[in-house]
Amino acid sequence: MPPLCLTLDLHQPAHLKHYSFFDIGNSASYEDESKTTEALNQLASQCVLPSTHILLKQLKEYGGDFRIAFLISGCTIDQFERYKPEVLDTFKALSDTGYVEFLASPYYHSLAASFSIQEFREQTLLHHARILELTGTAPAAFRNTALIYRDDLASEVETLGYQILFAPSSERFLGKRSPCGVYRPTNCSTLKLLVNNDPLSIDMARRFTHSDSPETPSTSAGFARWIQQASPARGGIINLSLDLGAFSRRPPGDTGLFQFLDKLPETVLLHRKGTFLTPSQAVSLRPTALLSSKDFITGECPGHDLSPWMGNEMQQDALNALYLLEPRIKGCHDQALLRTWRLLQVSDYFLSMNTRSESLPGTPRSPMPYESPYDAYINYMNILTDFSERIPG
Amino acid sequence: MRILMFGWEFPPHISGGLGTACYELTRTISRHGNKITFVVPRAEKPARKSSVQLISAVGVPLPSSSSVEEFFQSLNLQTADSILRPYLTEEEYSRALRSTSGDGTENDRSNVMTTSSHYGQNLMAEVARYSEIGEELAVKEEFDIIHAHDWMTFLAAIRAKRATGKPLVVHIHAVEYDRSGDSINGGIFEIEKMGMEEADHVIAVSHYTRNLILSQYGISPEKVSVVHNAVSRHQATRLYHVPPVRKNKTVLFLGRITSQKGPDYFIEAAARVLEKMPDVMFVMAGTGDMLPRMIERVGELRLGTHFHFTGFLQGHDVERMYAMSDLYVMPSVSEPFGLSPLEAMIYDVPVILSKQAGVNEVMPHALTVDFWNVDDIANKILAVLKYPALSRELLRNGRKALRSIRWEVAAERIQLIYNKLAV
Repeated sequence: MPPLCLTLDLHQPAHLKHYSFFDIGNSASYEDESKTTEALNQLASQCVLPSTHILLKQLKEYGGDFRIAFLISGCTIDQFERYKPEVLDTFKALSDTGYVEFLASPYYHSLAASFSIQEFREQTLLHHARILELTGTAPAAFRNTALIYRDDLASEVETLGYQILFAPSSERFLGKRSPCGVYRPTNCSTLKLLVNNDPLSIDMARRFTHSDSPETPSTSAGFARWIQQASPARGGIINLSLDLGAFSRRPPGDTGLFQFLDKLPETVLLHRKGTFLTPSQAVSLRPTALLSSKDFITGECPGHDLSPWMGNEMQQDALNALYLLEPRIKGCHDQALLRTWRLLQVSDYFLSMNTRSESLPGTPRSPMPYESPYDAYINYMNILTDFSERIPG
Repeated sequence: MRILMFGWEFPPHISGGLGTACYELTRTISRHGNKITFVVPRAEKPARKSSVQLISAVGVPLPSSSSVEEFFQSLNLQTADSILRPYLTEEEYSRALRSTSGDGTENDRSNVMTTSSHYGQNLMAEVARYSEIGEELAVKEEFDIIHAHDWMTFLAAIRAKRATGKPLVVHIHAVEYDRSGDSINGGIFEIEKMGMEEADHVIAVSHYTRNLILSQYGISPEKVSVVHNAVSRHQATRLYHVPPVRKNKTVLFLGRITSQKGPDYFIEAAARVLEKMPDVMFVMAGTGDMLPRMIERVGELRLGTHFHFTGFLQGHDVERMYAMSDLYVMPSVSEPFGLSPLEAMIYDVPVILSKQAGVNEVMPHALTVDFWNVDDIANKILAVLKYPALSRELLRNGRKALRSIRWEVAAERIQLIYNKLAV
């Protein structure tokens, strides 16, 4: 069994207020703080605190044999700092074990990569600095929002000094190659590509979030057996990611995730003779091929494209209107306006405008409080209209 | 199969969506090899077969003449002399009666009545009289199933069932609660309840209506099925060319101007919209008992220059009205189904619908509102007018959804119900 590289994702969008057309010009407050806090408290108490507690225990017990990675969006760190600061202490404690790696990502879990490379760079630097401040360690591996990849982004990520970049396991990109391989973007000289194993990741998430899944006992023993069956190949690395946020929406008595995390190291290490790696440890592995994609690809939907976020006219309209504001926002040198503009970039807002009825495995992160994608768009556009009227010039 | 069907209006003499629904249902059900005898309570004899011109609720000529011929050969249209119309209240009935039996000076817009001294003195007596005719016909005709549309036909249908022992299907297009809200007519309620209790099967036009049937009438759930209404593509065969440059956006209300349809909420929302967007035109098309009060209210709000009351529209005027509009709003207080939003969408007009409308169950690509939430109605009107991507996306998805909302599907479901009962 190849080494296992498990990344736990944590992202929670701020809830937007119900904002009517009649609020335009009258109210510059866009966030529903009580809803955000409620969701955040639930996330912390039902998921983050219990799971980090278990992880800390196991990380200490197994020394460096058990390792894990975290990807926490910048806006989520800000929310914890504001409403639930003790959670940040547990992240610090995780980092202090020396066996947990924190990844870099665009700060606001945004789609900036597909609209403005400048903004993408700025948000990455912001997140980098935030992680450094929080953990004392600079991130060495980068994962874009929704694993969005294109060759020019890879060059940018290399220029920013990262050693590892995660890519989606799109067939358009990988061809027949294994998602367990280590690769290099065609236009890079040092950056290494790891491929997130999307099918296995989605499958794993399902085991925890659908109790009617045919193969539930989501035990770690079952998990290890299943991983081994799914990736019999030797060599390489199995990269899995798991959205922790999904677990805060589980019934409170559901302890499947915690049992799983508790038993995971024992099962993989002792029974399966497996090992754990964090992404930057994969730097020592040699790339076996060059990969290239001139188009944006992503891991989170069947088409491996950006359509869940920008597949319809409302989404395109909202995103275009938002990013058209960049020169004005950056020209007015107003930090508060800049921050609000960035908060409005959180990708979840565009996902909530998706009108495709078929569910996209793995895509939906947190259900938005709207009755329809049309309501989501109206609310967002009312806010954006108000916001754009507040930019000087 | 031979079906004895009791209705109360049939094209061309229709006053609302029910006539259209009955026409479309008989058209598609007869394609399954069924022979339908359709009984309508109408004083006027139907036009001769060859000269009948069928028109839909939006007034478009229906199939080509040969298929109309064919259709009418399979459909036996019977009339019973009566002035019943589906949306009559007791009060309207008395007025209509005066206009038909009086000195002829009072004019009613309906052209389906002739002067006669045989009418009953009130609506209930009229229903009872229609039921006698129903029984007479039932004994005369050969058939396998009785199918009755809404309460006014129920007594007739029940008597037909008792006289012949044939299975009865009652089809609920609306219940008294939809028509009258809290001030329901106890007599009508009782007839509805009796009809549903006597029926071997009850068809509701929406889950919304089915829930009312279960909760308000206590009918046992296993004999109540939902068969959604639909909309025909041929209802929009004619293209209306609207002058390409129109200065103002037009927002349409089209329907009976009665409290059930929520015209008052439309006017209050219009007032809010005009605060933010002064160049919008609002059109209220239709007529009804609340019309004078609505005209008055528009005056009070000083909205006269932004409001247009068209009166009752039919035929091509309805189509032209849709084609001229940028948005259709249906703020109904209670709407068992509601065909007109689907018709509006055929004309590429996006719609805002009351959440209390059954049509929501088949059309997810509409904006929905609580009818009493005037601010939200105004918010959504403004959004449609200000953010063009919203209309385009609603219509793009709506057009796709419309393709599967077909009368043929309704007929197939009804056929299955017939098959089960006829065994």
